[in-house]
Amino acid sequence: MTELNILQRTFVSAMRALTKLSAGYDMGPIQEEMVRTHGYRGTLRLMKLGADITTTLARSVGDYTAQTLIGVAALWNGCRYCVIGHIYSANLHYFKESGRLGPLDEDSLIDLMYMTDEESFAVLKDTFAGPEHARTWHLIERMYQLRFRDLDPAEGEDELLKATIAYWEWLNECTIILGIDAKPGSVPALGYMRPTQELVDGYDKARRAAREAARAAAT
Amino acid sequence: MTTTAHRQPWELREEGDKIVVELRGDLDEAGARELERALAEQLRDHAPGSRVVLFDLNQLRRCNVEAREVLARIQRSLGGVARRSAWITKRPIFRGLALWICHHAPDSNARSFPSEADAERWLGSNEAREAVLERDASSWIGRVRGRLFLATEAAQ
Repeated sequence: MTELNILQRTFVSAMRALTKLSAGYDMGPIQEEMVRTHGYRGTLRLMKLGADITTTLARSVGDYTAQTLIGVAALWNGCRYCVIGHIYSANLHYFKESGRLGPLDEDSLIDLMYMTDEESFAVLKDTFAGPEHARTWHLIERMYQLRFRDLDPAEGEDELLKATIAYWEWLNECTIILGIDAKPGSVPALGYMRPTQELVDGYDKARRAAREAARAAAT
Repeated sequence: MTTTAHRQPWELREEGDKIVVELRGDLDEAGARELERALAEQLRDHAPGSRVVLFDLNQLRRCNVEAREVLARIQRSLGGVARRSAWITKRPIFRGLALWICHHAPDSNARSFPSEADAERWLGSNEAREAVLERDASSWIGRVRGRLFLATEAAQ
């Protein structure tokens, strides 16, 4: 691994501070890896395009669905860090907006990644069944076709979905250094969620209760 | 020629200028080291750059931390002898593993894919992975920006 020089280290420190300020969390060694891989300009471009695509997606489909789509795109790339962090963020948005738990538990994500793409697609279809998640599911289904079936963009959000797929493939090149081993509970809510402690505590308590209820029902 | 190591979860075979490495079941450090030796042997008699390597992970079920370090070392060594490499798997967990290996090696001529057709296209091309990823992302985000700009203009 190439060591960064003093200018590069200073740049990384500034980027980390900026991310902490704007997004509320520290990306750990990821930005150092970006500088190592893409240089200064490449890193700035990567961060700028990431902010653009996240904001555009959220404006188009709402925060909860945007974070779910990003999480699913990252799931297909095999980056545990991004799938856990973005689905956690989606769940916090959903909990904040509705007071209910999102359908995809962060604890189920690694098992989902061990499945084949077709198997996990079937599980996602069941998970997002019902009118409440119809719009989100439609977009996941379109994204699946665009990613795995060479579907050409044809309707409403298709180009935005293609941009999401393509951007997270590029980003995961560097996030994979944490994404190879990340586990639920060790990744912050990614994106620009900036959850309050009250929201995090309320969500964690509700999720734990749901998991315990599911375990009790299974025995 | 096909090389299968008994009790080892891999098989090597040559198909024209392509060397196919199939990984199966549980891969541990010892199995990965055996593969490293066999692949080096297979490539020894070929001129540098005359072969491409396709790693097929579709039958792989587990790969421990020690084995993945050996796989990264294999990928690093391929950078000097193989023209290009591709990793295919339908399981995202192993696409992540392959991405980590290609990035960690590092080898810009290696990339992971869900399908063999995508991998074959990659093996026949010559662009660096990072350049392709950046170009695709920039191009699609550019199209979205263009559409939004036009929509804003139309609304005014």
